[in-house]
Amino acid sequence: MSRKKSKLKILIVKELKELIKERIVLFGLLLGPLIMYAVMGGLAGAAAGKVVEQAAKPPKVAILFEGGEPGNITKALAQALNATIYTGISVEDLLNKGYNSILLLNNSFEENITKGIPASITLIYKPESIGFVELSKPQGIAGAVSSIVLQVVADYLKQYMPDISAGFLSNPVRTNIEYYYKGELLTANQLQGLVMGVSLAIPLAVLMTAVSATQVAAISFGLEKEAKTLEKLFTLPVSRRSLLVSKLAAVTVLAIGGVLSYMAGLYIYLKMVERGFAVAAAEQTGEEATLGFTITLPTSAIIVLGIGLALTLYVSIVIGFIVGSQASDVRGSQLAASYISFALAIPLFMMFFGVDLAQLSTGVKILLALDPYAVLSMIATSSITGDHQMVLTGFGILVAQGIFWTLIATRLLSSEALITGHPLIMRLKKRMTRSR
Amino acid sequence: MTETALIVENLWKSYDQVTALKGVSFEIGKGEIFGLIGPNGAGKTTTLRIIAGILHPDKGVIRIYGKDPKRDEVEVKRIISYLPEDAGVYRFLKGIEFLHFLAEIYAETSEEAEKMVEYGSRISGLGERLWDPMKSYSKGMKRRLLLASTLMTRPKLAILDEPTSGLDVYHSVLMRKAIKNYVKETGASVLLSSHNMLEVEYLCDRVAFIDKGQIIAIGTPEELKQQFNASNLEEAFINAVGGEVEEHVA
Repeated sequence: MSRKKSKLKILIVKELKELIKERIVLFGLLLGPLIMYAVMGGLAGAAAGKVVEQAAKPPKVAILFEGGEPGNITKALAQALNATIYTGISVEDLLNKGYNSILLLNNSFEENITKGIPASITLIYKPESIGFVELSKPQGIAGAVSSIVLQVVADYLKQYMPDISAGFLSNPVRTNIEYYYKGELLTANQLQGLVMGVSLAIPLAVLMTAVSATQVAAISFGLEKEAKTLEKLFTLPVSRRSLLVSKLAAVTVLAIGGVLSYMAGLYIYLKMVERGFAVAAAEQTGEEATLGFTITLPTSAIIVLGIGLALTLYVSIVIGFIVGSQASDVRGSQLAASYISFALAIPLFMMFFGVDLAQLSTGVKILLALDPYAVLSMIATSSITGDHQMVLTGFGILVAQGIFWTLIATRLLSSEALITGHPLIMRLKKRMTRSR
Repeated sequence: MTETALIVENLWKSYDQVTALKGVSFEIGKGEIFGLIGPNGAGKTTTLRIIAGILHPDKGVIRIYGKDPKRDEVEVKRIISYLPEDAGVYRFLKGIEFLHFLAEIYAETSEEAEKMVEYGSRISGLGERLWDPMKSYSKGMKRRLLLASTLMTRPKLAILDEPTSGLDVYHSVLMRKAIKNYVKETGASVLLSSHNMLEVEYLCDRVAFIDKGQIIAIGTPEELKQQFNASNLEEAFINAVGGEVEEHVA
């Protein structure tokens, strides 16, 4: 007599078989992120190439000198910028000649510089497109003008005051800024990495995992309701708790698969963008280049984030079940889960815009404690900033939320409303209508 | 009746403001096919769902082979099997996978599960189509598979809600034969509900008329016809509810 498989395992396998073949789950959770990120990466890579190409394209500069003959400084400037000097012509005519950058200079410019008085000039730029790279090109020309003028000043200084460098005049004191944060001195770069982790990596990780898990959990019930298989399932000789556990386990497996897909997709995306920049830069300069940024977090923070994510994942799945049990079909489940996910993700959007949740008022913090996504975000932020007490409190809150929502889900699953088609929302509506 | 398979005593059930059952009582003997007949909304499905353990009664007693379905939930569910009226199938599972899934839940050993699947496959009559995903099945094929899955676990009490609902004559006859043979082979009991009086007359040993949540008459088809001075069960039911057809439809 061969040994029998555990009932829970049989139920989990059935759940996985049904869910994995469902198009919404397969593409939305498992394959979608990979495909989406790869397409986005390809487009972003191509766009990166275009950006590099655009940045490398030199502007066509003309100098329009008004009021007399151009002096030595103007001629030096024209040579350095590879520009032609014009006089007695309008700006429009120069633009029509194909120039896109026109420097307006006059005698007072030369006089001011030779006397050591700051001069003011006008640069007219005709952008090819409205993009960051294109719009930043005039800044490059302005910078080039300053450095050429500085070189002229440096030549004067070398002649008359050989001990003083031009760099001293342009920037007499260089201030190195360091931040004293949680007992440690951090450079601007280190703190930037921290901000990157808090305001980008954490909300992104939470959104990726929890939102997908909520959706799949909600769909799991919707599928049973739509296929009218729930009634048969409830008559099987297994407890309702086993049914809930099997659904939880199956969705968790898929959610983890979804997270891995997202992570792999994100990696591909970043690599494709990096490659786009590198290839374009290599074409322009003949040298290999890299993207030059990474999203890094301290190891302890990654571990804490992992534990927090697992707890949040669980809470999200249970919430997904509750939401799904109140809908009558897959579409209803999806819609309800989307609304819930969006509402829960509001604190994460706040983080994207740089809001520090820890700085909010106590009342708002208590409200946020009900939101598993916000709690995880606070845990992750606290783990980076070294606030261990806050991390433990966050874990406690998530465990309490997990227990609370599981009790609610178990109650709903035992409730006959799932079968009789009188979910909570419909019953509340009826009661309200009756009380009127 | 030699041995009682099911006792239903004074069953009451309400949904919000609607009282679906008002003191329903009946008994089914071992090896008996018992039919519950009534119009839409009479309380047939509610009664079957309560016996299957899906719904809980507000009041009343149920005993299945002497066991309380509320107290011995899993134990009772092991000896019963329920075919809901509008039951669906898992779209992406193959017919054979569905039978395996249910057999593995019910059976104690792999060998027992294999026997169940073999039996289920035979009753379903789906042959090679069992290896196709169930989403490709016609309504009749789905219903046959569901009936097969209900009977293959060899329940001591099979609860069948409109077993031939929506099926053509050919498939309905096949299903009725399967039910009749099952009872003959196993000595199990069947509780079924149906709108089809011909089906009830052919299958059932005894019948209960249910209307507006109450049992209004119980007996063999012959006894009921005699009692209500009718030539068939349909007429007997109409006479039993004491009114014209128009009153019930209105």
